[in-house]
Amino acid sequence: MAHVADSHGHGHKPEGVFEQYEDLHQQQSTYVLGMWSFLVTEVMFFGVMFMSYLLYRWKYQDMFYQIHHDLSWQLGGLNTANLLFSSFAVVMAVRCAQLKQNGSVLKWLGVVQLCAFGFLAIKAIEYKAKYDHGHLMLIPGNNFQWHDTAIPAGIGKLFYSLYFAMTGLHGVHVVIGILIFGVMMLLYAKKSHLVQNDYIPLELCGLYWHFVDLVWIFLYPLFYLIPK
Amino acid sequence: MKNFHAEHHIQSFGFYFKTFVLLAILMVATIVAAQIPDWFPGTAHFLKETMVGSILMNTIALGIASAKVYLVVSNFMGVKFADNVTKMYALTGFVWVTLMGIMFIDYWTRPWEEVKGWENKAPGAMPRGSASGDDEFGNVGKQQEIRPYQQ
Repeated sequence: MAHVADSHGHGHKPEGVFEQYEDLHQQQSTYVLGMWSFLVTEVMFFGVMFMSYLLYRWKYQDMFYQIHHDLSWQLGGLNTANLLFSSFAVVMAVRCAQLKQNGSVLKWLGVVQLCAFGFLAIKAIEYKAKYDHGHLMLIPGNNFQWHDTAIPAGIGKLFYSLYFAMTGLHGVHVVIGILIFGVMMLLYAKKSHLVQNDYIPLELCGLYWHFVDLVWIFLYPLFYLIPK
Repeated sequence: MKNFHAEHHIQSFGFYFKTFVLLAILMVATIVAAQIPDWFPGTAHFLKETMVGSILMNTIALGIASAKVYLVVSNFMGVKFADNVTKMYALTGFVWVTLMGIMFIDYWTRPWEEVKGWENKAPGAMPRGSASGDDEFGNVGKQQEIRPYQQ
């Protein structure tokens, strides 16, 4: 523990290291760990929704399989590719921040924003198709109209309630992602001291975005590619 | 304490790009796997109508999703290079989800136990064992049977 003895002996820290940390590495690891604590709560948050999905899917497997044909696996696949690429763009932005290439950080974050808006646009097309599904309203509520006589309307409502709740909550996370990356772009564009010598703020936003990607990685096969 | 003094290593472009390409390949694989029963009608009966085929298809879909999650968590989120405590956080966060499987034991065993007064089920509710017969959701009511300890 020569390191600890040394820092106590001289009583000074490297620049940018706060009082309670020994060195920059420990400080940064602590920030990352804090973000992970938040992400674990997010796992619990989405976890209960996946739990209810699994429960009803298990119970009504055949009918869920029939209903899922209403969803477009092509549009869902496009959004999967979109989010995977945005995750790549985020790690590239963080890498550029580590190398202190501010201009490139802004470019990659611009790519992330484009992907995020593209995701929402495709989602809007899909939601619109459910709002007006061959003159039928498939959004659960008082105006819900069911078309398949072989499947009880209650199961249709159940499927679409889960679909809108889970993809909707995921969509809200995408919107929040757009906002926080917007703030990061502003900070980098203004060369704020908060991000000039510290890539950790961007790294933490990146961790959040990867989590949003993770949720979609499960949502896609579970809703769009249901095997019988 | 092994990593305590380690400098933060910046990963190469190639490392991230390879990860992205792998993720893209897995994404195509999961789509192709899902379309096989439609593209090859000869396999449709086995993959769609038999229990083994169904388990196989679901395992493939979720297996590929898990592989993608591993790649994102490990390489993109940097857990591979993180401190052990961060690794533990990441791991336990996802283990929690598997613990929820215990709830399935409740729902799984409900039809085995008849509950008096449960005949008026809420729409779509998971059924308790009930003597009242099938409902409008296609749930099969518990057949009249005498539990061993009542004999």
